[in-house]
Amino acid sequence: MNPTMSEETTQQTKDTTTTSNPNQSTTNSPQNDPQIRPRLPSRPSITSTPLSPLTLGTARSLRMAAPTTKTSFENAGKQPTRYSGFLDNNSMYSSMGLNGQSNHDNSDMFTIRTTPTLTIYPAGEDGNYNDAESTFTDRLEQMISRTNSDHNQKQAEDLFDDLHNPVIKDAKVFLILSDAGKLIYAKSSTDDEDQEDEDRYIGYVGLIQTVINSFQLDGSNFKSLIAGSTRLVVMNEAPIILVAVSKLNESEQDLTNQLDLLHSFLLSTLSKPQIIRSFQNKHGFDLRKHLGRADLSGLDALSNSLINFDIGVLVGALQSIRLRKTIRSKLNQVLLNNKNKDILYGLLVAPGGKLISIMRPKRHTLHTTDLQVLFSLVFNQFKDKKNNFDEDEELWMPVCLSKFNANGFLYSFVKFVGNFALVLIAANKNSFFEMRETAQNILKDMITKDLLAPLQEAIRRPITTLEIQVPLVYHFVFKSKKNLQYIVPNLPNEGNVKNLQKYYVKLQSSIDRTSKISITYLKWDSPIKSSSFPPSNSMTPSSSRPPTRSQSTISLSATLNNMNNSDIQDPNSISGLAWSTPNYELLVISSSSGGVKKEDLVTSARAIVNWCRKYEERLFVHNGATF
Amino acid sequence: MSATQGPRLAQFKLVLLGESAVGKSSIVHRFVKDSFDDFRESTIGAAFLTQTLKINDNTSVKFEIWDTAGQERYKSLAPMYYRNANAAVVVYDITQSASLERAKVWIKELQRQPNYQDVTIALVGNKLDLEEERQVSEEDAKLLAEQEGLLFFEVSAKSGDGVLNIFQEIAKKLPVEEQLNKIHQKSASKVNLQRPSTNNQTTCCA
Ligand SMILES: Nc1nc2c(ncn2[C@@H]2O[C@H](COP(=O)(O)OP(=O)(O)OP(=O)(O)O)[C@@H](O)[C@H]2O)c(=O)[nH]1
Ligand SMILES: [Mg+2]
Repeated sequence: MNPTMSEETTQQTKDTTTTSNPNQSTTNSPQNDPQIRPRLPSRPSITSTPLSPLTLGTARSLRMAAPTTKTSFENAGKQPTRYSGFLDNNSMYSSMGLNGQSNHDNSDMFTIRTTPTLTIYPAGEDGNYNDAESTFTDRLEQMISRTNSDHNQKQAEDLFDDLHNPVIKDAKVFLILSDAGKLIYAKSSTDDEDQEDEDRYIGYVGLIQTVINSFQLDGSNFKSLIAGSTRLVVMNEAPIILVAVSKLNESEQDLTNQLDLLHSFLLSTLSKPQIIRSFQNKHGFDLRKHLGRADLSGLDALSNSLINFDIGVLVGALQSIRLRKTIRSKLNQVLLNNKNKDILYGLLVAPGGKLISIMRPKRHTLHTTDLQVLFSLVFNQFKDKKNNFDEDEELWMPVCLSKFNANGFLYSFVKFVGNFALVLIAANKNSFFEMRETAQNILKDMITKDLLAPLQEAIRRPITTLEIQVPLVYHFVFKSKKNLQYIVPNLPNEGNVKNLQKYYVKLQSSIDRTSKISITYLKWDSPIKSSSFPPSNSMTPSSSRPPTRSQSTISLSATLNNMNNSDIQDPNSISGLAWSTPNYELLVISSSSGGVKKEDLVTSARAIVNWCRKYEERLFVHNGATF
Repeated sequence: MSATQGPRLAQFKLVLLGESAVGKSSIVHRFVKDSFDDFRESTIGAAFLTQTLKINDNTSVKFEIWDTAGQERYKSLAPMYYRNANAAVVVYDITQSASLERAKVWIKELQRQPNYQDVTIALVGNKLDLEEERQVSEEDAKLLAEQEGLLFFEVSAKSGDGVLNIFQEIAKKLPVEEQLNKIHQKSASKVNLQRPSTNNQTTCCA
């Protein structure tokens, strides 16, 4: 185990009768009342479907190895890094080994595995540590070709060292390709905004083809692969293949959920039959040509939000807006009073996809992923407008909500009112003017009932840790499982939630999903060090010697020894708690001198839980307006 | 009954058609908000906007505008928007000759409509500010418009040049008086229906 972090499970009450399937994703919640509870989201299951035949790549046999338990080898102290304080913007990246200063913790250590993970053991020689031009692709390709020859453990270890080499520069990459190997879309964390440089992904495609092909011929289902600190997850949605490459310690399930969201987004404007038909008609069909500006900018927005960390996707829930109960019920009444026969769903949403209210049939709810996709589409149409939405403009968007029905389109009427959007969903494409009239009536009623002001006020006013009186808590995520919604407090000092990704990812994956109740306490001994994130082209290659075993870890002292700067006195320590019950899930991050003791953090967590339960009806949309 | 001197409002439906990225949404926003956005998002489905234009001292035309998505994928939805339209603005990008070809296809499609004769159609070349990148000559497009009996304009949504003019010229072609008279007749007959003759005696014949 990586000594930079200690983990302790303080309480794990097993309950065999209600033990959930470990394959279940976090969004699966107890369904107490099937009539009014949100539909059980069928997140992609880890056991994947068979891959379709692939046309590219050579078959190579890869060995299936037992998941490794070896310590990760770190290039400790290669480059002096500036200690730039807790949770600054760049710390996330630096922690992922992008500065040659990789002090990440190996997620293999205790991620709860849902399927066997394939680990490739290399064979053959390698002396390329100082090859700055070497790409990630080259590395993996070498690795794969090496598996053809005899290999031994020593060389396998070399490979692991190799993969910690900073030339593997992308902290995260998403690829969408056709099963014929054509690149459809690519996005990476190091993408230059102004420069569309897709060429550099071409290598990835060949690689992935090869890998998939190998596994196919082996009869095994290729899902996920770990090479050193890099996790690669493939989702086969033939004729489309989605790939995530991440060095951010995200679990297979995390990445699978993200790919599922991207796939759902792709379906949202195309729908499944359209994609399949297109591919059938023309061999070697190029979906890229069929992706317009809207699709690309939508995919960009979504993948950027995933790269920049989306808590909602991590916990599989929608963020909700706090409203008084009386306001909520008045809102519901207004929605119901104006409902017309064509409306399937009505939604009030704040920017960032925060749910204010929902009107729906008693027996139907929408899938979280569908809503995340819909909200992303809606707000992306206006993304440069900040909060000044265009109230004169009304949209009529055909949307395929793929979890609802991947084969057809629904029509969304969208109107912005001040700082929120009213969305009315209908099945009938000719019902725009009915929807428009309904929307006008809803707004009229909201004005007469004085609902607009409190709503806009609620959207502006965040939850703070101060009002819950948990001074030890820096940030938290509370998810109500039955409502599939979560709340977070605002970050102090304009902090960036991206900096919390490492902790939340780890906390989230530490939850024992086989138990009814799981509480995990984690402590990071040292905040993440950071120098400024170097531009990718100036990435310094690591020294020519392979990192040695003695450098295998970065502890606080080891790191401090390698720094000349004086601003290293920050004694902050970060601890976290993950607490899951059948009703809720709470992730807490605390930062305090010397760290926060487990007992104290549990006390704070309990205070948060009590507060959230006390104000449950304010914090979450319960049934919404049902008809 | 003689026409009242109060403001009169005629309503007409207008649809914008044309290839993606030619600037349909930009033209509409220039007209409706007098604003321009360099990074406008491509339209998904269609957007609905309204704008009222004063055509003389006591008469205004309210345009109900469908700004459609240019992407081919949404092509099959287009009839929904142009079916009842009184006016159609077919837009191309003067820096992209392919976009004029697409405009021709739209014009053909509109001409196949049964009510084609009643629809005022304008061919609009946008992005006039990019003169140096021009691929479509003004003469060619103008000739096409004349042959097909369409209004023709070259504009820039970015600078605003000529945009308002499109709608003013269209408004001149629209059967404003006809519609106002119809409305007038309708409301007059409505009044008659709603008011039993007994009332008339006290008001009219006192
Ligand atoms: N230079 C210049 N650019 C323009 C002009 N009009 C629009 N653009 C730009 O062209 C791009 C496309 O404009 P849109 O208005 O979104 O085009 P559209 O026809 O609505 O496209 P779809 O919604 O995809 O059908 C945007 O980046 C605009 O900023 C113009 O007059 N001059
Ligand atoms: Mg548009």
